[in-house]
Amino acid sequence: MLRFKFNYVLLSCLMLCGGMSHGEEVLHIYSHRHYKTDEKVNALFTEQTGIQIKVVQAEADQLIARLRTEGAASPADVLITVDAGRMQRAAAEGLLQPVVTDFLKNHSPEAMRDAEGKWWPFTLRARGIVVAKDRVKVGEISTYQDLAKPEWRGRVLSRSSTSSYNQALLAYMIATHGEEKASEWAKAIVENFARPPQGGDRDQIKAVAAGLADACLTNSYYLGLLLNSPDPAERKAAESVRMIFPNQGAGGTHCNVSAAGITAHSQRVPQATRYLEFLLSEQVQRLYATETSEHPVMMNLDYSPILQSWGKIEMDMVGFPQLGKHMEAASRLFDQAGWK
Amino acid sequence: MKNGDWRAESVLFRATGALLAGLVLLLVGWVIFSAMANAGGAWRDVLENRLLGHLWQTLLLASGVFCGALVIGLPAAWLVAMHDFVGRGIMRWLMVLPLAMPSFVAAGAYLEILNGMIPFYVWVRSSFGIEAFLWVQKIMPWVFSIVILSATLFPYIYLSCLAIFERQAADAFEVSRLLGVSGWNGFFRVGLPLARPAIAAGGGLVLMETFNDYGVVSAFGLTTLTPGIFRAWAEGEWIVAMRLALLLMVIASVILAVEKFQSGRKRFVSSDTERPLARVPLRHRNASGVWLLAMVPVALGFLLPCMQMLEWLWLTLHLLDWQGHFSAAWHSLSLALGAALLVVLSAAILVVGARVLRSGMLKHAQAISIAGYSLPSAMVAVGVGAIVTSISQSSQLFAGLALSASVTGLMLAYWVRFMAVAVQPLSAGLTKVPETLGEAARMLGERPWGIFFKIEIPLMWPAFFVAAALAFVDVFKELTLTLVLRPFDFETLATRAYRLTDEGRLAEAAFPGLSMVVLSLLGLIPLLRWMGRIRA
Repeated sequence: MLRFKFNYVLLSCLMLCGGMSHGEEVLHIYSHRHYKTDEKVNALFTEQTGIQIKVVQAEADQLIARLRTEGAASPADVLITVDAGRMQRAAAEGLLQPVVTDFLKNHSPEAMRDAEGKWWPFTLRARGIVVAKDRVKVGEISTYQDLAKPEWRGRVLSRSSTSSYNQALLAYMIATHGEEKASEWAKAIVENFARPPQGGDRDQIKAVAAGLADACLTNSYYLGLLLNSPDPAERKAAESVRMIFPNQGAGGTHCNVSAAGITAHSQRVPQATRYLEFLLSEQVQRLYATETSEHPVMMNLDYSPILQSWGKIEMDMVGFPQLGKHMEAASRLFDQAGWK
Repeated sequence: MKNGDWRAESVLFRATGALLAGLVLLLVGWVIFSAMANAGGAWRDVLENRLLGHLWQTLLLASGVFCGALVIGLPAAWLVAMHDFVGRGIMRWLMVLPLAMPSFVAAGAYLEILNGMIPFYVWVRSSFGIEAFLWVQKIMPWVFSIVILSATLFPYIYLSCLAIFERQAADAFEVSRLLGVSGWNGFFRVGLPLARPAIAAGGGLVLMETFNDYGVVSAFGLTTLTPGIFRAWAEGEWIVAMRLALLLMVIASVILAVEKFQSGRKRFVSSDTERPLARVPLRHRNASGVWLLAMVPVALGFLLPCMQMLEWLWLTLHLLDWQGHFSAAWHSLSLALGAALLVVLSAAILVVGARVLRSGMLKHAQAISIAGYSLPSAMVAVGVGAIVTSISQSSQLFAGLALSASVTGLMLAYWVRFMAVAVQPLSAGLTKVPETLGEAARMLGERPWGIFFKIEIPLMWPAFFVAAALAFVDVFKELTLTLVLRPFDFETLATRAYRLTDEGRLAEAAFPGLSMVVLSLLGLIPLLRWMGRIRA
């Protein structure tokens, strides 16, 4: 028993030593992303620069809480999340440091990045509506508000309100339409659910294809992942639905980003900056476009046939900078609406 | 020889007891103290929008699972204890198999079935209209959750009732048979009243496991108190999390108080002479019926999920991340072994020390440590998490040790949560060791450690195996505490299976899921051998 206790003390010491290492060869990343493509990107970075990458994966809220607790002793160099609202919150709490280079400025859209350079987007994702081709006519849905109409009762699906994607969507609705209208919209959507929220976005798409409902809210790239799936059943399901980018010509579709920022106490700022620039390189942008169907930050649709087939998207620019500000209200409105 | 001659050992034993009891009291005290702080608007939001939902869902789920586990476990124990039929010995062991299947692993397998029911829902909509369609969708997650939890937790009631029927109630049953009360009449008039303490004990475990479940309820979208606590914790609303955890503790305490009240009646029904009961042979036709009925819960709670996972494993062999899986398996094994050793050794110190040193203090420490089991996992998780985080934040030195998410915090939580799992079998085992042996050794000049290692422990060896096996399996399958307190980038098989299921990668979750089942089965072997030793 004593040996086991000693081993755990030793493990903790090793973690401490690892955390406090000032070696230049390892970049520590706290990331919410979990795709195989991310591992490929990191391997490419190591191959090209010789800098090793150590990734710690967890949900963004846990990563941010961890950075807060660790303070100056944090081993993390880079924080990556899949939600601009959380990056905005992390920046506001002083957990990230600004870094601005010409490469970063020239390879990312000004409207989608932090004004002080505390975080930089490297993929875009639209929160669209997927509909069944055989049950929903073209033009029947063109806005998020259309899904809330009474004729859609029992025909709509969405994942849980605890998902950061839905929270960001409602934060966008609050920013662009006010709390009262956003609340009404959320309540109406709940009335129109074909089933209580369960599963992720891909489960909603597959359920629409199977006939459980006629429309669902989903991030665009999930449809791309299903279209490229090695499972023939998933590909068939994806081919029976189509993607709608709501609010085109009416303010634009709500889009979110995967973004990266350098932590406030990083001891490897030059290496971390190289990593951020690498994420915005053409090689990596093409990789994300083809393998995960995430939109490149500069909207290079030619990188992927699927993205080309979806066409150019008008993105909302009004709500995006305020996502972090309205997250708490979004969570409260979801609870009031009964959106589980 | 007086206790004063054993001063050094006495101090060590008492210090251990004080540390253990102190941890539990510190945890409870910390949570209560934290819950009294100002929670601001967050608590008001929970009160207005979520609390009622958490409460009724928790109570509805617990009631449903208790009834389900009772309906399966009690008759099964009765039939196995009272009757002889072909394959009875095998059935006796088969009914324990679902204990090796973590509920949330089974949930992953059943999610696929739930998703496959879409054609049924579409048929309901086309045949009965939209309202029937919506209603069926609302109740199906409940049906699945209650079935899965009942089918994986009923062995607790089955085992506790089996022990009463096989060993302690032989006299009562034989007298009732002589008086012409047998068969189902005997079950309702004699068996059921006698089994009440066992139902209370096993039912208490079933209810605690249901309260603590996170994997099943989150897979099916239910919002009982435990996911509510998790959510508040993840959102940084620690005071809300503490208050919800206290509420769950109060509910659990009431349940356990009722259980203790029922178990207290045991002294009026148990026989000092535990002798086997003569079984009544069943006709072949009835035996076939018994087998069919018994296989339903075993199939639901063990065989079907295993078969689904084997199929998935076969389909995903080429995709497996072997390194990740083996790393998670190593973490699970080392945590479970370490925690089991820690828990069993501590429990032995308390239990045997209380007798050898005749220490009232150690007896109180024992009682407080057992109380740790009644603390909901979510409460232990947020309590230990808050304590180690506060220590981390108290100075830069501690922050660097990353205590807030470390194996140390996790082991502390396992220690508090699972002490009772070892204390109870060891206490039961110690009652079989005459006190006179230790006293004789003491008179002959033996020190407490000598009595401990040379007399008490060798005679209690089977109880040690059972305690270690139960603690190992419990920690191995544990999800709730581990999800909150584990170090970053540190996965166990349980957290890996949960994460893959949560990400919709059900097939990939098969390997960690099956690994957990196999290793849990190995961990159950000492328990099954102990069952065999008591009664064949």
